[in-house]
Amino acid sequence: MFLKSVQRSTRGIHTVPKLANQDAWLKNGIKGLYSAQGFKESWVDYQQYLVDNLTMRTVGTLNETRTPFEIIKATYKNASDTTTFHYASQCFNNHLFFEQVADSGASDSAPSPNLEYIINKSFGSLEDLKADFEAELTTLNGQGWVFLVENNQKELEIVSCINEGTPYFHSRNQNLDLSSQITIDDVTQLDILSQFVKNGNREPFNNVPLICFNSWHYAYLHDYGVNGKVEFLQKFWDCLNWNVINQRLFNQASL
Amino acid sequence: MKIQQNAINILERTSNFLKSGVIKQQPAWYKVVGSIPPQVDLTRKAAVNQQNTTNFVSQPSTFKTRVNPRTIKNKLYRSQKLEFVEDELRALFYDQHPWERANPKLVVENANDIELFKLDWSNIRQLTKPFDGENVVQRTLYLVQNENLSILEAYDKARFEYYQVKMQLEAEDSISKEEATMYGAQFKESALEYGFQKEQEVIDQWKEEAEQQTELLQNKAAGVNNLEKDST
Amino acid sequence: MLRASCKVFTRRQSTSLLPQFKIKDLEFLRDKGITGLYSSKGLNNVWYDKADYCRENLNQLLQQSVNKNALLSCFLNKSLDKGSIHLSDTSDSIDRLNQLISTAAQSCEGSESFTVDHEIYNLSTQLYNHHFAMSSLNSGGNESNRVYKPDASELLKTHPNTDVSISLSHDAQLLKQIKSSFGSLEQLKTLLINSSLAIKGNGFTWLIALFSKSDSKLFLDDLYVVNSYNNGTPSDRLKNGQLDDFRAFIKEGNSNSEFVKDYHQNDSFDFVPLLAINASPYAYLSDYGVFGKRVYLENVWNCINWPTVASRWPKEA
Repeated sequence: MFLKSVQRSTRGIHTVPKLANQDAWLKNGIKGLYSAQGFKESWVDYQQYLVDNLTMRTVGTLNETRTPFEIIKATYKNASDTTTFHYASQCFNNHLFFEQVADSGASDSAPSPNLEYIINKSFGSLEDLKADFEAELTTLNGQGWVFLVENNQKELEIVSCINEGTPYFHSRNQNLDLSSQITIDDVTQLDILSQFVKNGNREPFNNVPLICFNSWHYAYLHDYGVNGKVEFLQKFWDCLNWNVINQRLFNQASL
Repeated sequence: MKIQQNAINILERTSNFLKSGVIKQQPAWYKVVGSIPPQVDLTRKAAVNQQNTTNFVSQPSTFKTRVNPRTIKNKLYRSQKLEFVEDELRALFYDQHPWERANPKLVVENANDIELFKLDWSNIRQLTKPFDGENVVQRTLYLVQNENLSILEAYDKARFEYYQVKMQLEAEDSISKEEATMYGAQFKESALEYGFQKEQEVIDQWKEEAEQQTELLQNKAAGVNNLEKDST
Repeated sequence: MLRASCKVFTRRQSTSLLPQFKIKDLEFLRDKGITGLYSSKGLNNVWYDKADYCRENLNQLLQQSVNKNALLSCFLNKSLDKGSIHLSDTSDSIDRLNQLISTAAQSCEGSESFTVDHEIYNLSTQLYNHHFAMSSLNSGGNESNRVYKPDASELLKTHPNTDVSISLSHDAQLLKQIKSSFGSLEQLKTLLINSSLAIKGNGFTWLIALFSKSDSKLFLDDLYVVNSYNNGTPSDRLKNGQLDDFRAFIKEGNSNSEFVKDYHQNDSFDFVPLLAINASPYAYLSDYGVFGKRVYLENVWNCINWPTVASRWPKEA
């Protein structure tokens, strides 16, 4: 379930994981989503940029033998490790994003009955989910990610994260923009969270991401232009490989 | 190998044997060897330092059986001093930047595959190596070999590149933190905050005690004054 | 959490309340780009498309806002030059945007159109920041710059940073002040480039002058390099202490409107922004690629219009 860009326990460098259809996509792009150049920029180049920086930031340190996901877990609480966290979290999220896309029309995948049930329970219908997702995306300021997550109540939720935020930990969701306007509720929540973290508490995994949407310009600037994130999302729904999403859902039978 | 002492004192021993009657007849070579005795003493003897023999007692006991390497005249038997430019550069760099030593460093190696990556010193930054003083040393050597710079010019150039990267990394650290905080990230308390907190606890305790003691002293002083007043 | 109650980002041409935002020097460069900095596509990404987008959305939002009149008066009470605002010939339009920003910022939580005003605030700060950054650039570009997409090896490279010079006369007030505040031009350049290089998401790096006010005269405190992120502005007066104020409010239960006003009225200091650099990914991605931020920033430094920057020095100082 958790992605590892390099599987190892000894020292080494981080490398770009190879996607199943990578060669074909590099030649033709992802049908219905990316041109060849757009795909190269958002996956091959950007992921290379991230893993190289992550390698340089972790070589010779404790994080050297860890996978990006483990680095996220090891660094999310430390203010001095924010840069390492950024690269690790971006690596992880970007892989999560590209793992779930497919050529449009290539697979006749659909939400499993289980997933469909839980979507209907939380949002009403798949269309409602898409509308909510889009509303969340439009209010997201700047670069970031939008996730559909399953929380520990086994309910679905939409979480948006500015910049390198991760859905796993509330303290690093990063869904406020303090340089813009905030509300009293935000401040109250922030203070509760801050007290919780300052006391040295370990956060449990609150959310498990099911769908991950990349709202960084690296992902869509080439093909959709500077204001194209909503158009990108609409195309994204057609290229979503539901088989991957179905597997990400917590399933008691698989335990 | 057994020390071949017997070959030299063969005449002496044969004489003793003749005298005691172990052998009855003089060997044929006896007179020849007696007139031309073997000259070379093949046993090695510890060269005794003249100075040390005078007050022999005060020397540590290990010295008695060791040869002082300084007294060996022949270079062949002396271990060579290994001198490298790198060591001098390293010493210079860490002498000028003592705090660079404070960076944690990996000392024990558990897998050497990462060491096998070939490092290309046409840039000071390396993908597979932590960024530290060693980069300056290696980059200096590269510059000397490839750009026809004198060693000090090369060192200066490498050093400034090092500063440049270091400044960039430090800016990146503080700004990523600022940026994440702006988006609502929460961190556990830093080492500094923790230190302040611990210090404050002690100070608070001290203040409480100091106040009690001051009060006590004041009361005592007041008591003395009252007594004086009473007596007058 | 902040959620806009209405979907606002639909492109719909309506009667325009706002004039077109233009930068005089950049008006004819849409198809050409800036030599040595942007191709036409890059320039569209970073300025034209962005500005159009902000204006269209602002237009709609202003009509929805309860505070429409207050917000619009920021523009309407000044004479408009044939329906368009030129930034380069006056700081007037900056003032107007500033006014729009602070009016929008004063809309407090609980008011009917908080979410709308909130979006207005976001869009107008974006517009303000982009305006400022673009008008700091020399539209003629720089012939000696090279625009290219470097590969991954760029991450390891260092750029020599010596013999930096700018096109200002030696006795210029700004140049003197830079030297006394930062030590040298090289140091300013290093600081500016490192600061904007480190911004990961959207953001701007600013050179600002801090003045203390007394008797309507300004006294220079110092020059600073600061970053703003997403919709932040360099003049932190609007948002500075926002969190503390809210906390105080939660603790003591002050009346809402009073404390919101408090942080707009700290007038003893004045931030004057002089220069802005756009450090967001879309500012360099299409021309310099994923690895090219450093190259982009070096090119920006060579294209800064220093006389314009110097002209922003307040006259009361």
